[in-house]
Amino acid sequence: MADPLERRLELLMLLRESRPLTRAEIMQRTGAYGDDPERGRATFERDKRALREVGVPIRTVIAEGDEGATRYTVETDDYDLPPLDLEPDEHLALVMATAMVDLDRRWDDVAVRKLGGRDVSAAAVRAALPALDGLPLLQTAVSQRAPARFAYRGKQREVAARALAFRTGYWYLVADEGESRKTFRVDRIEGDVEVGEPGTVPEAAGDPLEALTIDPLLLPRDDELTAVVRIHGHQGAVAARHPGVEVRSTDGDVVELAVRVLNRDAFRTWLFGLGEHAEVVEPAELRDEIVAWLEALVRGAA
Amino acid sequence: MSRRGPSVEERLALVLAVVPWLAERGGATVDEIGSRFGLPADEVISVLSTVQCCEVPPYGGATIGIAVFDDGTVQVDPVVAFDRPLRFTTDEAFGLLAAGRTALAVRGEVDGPLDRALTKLERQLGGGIDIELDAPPVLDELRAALAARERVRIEYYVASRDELTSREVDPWSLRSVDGHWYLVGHCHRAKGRRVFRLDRIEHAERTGVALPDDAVDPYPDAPIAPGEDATRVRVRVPADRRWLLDSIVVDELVDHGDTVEVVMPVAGRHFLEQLLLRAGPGVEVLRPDELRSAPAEAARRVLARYR
Repeated sequence: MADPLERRLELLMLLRESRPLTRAEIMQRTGAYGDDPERGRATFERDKRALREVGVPIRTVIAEGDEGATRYTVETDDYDLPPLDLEPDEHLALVMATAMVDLDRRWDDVAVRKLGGRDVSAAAVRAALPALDGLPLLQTAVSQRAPARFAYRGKQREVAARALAFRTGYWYLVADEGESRKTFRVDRIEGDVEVGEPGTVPEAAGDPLEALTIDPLLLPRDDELTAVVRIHGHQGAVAARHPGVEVRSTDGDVVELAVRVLNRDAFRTWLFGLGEHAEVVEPAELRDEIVAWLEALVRGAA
Repeated sequence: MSRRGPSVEERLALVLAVVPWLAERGGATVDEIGSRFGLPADEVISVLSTVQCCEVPPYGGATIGIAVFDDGTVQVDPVVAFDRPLRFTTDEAFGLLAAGRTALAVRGEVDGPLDRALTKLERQLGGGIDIELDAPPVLDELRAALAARERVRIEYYVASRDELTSREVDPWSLRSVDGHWYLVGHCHRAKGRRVFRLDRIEHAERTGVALPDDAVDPYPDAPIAPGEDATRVRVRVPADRRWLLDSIVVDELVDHGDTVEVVMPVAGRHFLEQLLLRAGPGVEVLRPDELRSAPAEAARRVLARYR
């Protein structure tokens, strides 16, 4: 039997001929599947699957009065990459873009090969991007206005996907679930994503990205308050760069910050990231809460 | 040294990309094909030799129309069977769009050729992807130094030791990983390759000192991750605070119901103490023994501020 690559290419060329063919016709015409019908059939199935895995759109046709025989074909319109009409500088810029990004599944590199490959090495300024399983289907759902279904926090969801956003190292999906607009972290989606019928969800109202709240400090969960935090030493400038944080005053190497607190867990995470350089000044209730937290930690080891 | 060659599927995908490219230009050399498609020359010859043998329907002896010559040139018939590339799969379309959007965020370019290319691409493949990368204040200065191949002087906060240091660095690359930018370069203070997180660089300035011509990263593909010399620490965290573990690297995680036990690499005590303070009452260090008292010690030091 021929080399698998040779056999699969021959099968592909045959399927691209105009007339849909049955398996028996294919096996007879290529002569590449040997004399044992069972082995030949298994090999044919493997080849068909391998072609589909690289994206070859094999159609199955069951014609009327054909006694149920399945015929296979590859239509040129399904197969060919439509012309992208890129100008030479646009083509080059797109190819260079893939050299500036480390996608951990190489999807972009495979795509770029279809555009004629890449003659440039990895760029000196580049960004890594996690390639999560569900992302391509979620993008399909967004662009085709198709419902997306997945499990999240132990619950099955059906949503109208609106946008995919990459922020602070994570992928987020903004989607409408019923009447409310929500943000889902894509790496926390459990299992597979399924995409429904295209064009069946209504147009999005407003800008979906406006609903994207990803900074935990600004994720509302508790009653809102403003905390005054004093930072001693060189970390003041870095701490002040955080969203929701403003400088109130600076005195030598002591900086006083006003911090918008909507979520106590997130506030403590931010505060303890500054170690012993940070001190909550007011409100007294929050200061007491932090002191109690620390005292319990000290007692824990006693 | 043995090297795993591409699988049959990878070879198939490669042929379906390389042949249309060759058909469009009539031919190329084996070396050109290798460098464009990321393959060693012997692999290119092996793949094309197989393709050469393929008969085309109606199987009267005619082959696919590719010829590989001894001098390394490859010629292709204009009537080759695959004159157009196969359309993108869902994964590839997403990969290309995401890479394009990310590169745009890296370059901060608007209305340039990449922007226009993406508009055309999104017309066909759909959009809906929005990428924002962190932009620390020192990014532009370091990017300029890198482009000019110039040494920089930085004030760097060493988180693992909670200490501010001043050093000179020959910049090799700037990498955005997990939401943070990093400078990779040769540190003259440490006398070796070091990685610096940009949001911990308090100040950066170009020195005017040109980098030597041979100044390149010896490990350009090395991941940005905790060092091999990190200590493995076993910590027990109350289950209601397990979300703290989402954003850190753990080697092992066991769920006991009301607590979660993890083993994680810790490169410096300061990082561990931050985690313990955040995890709060109920957190315990189980191993190594000398770190069992770390939660209380860290809490005592912070408490001193309040007294």
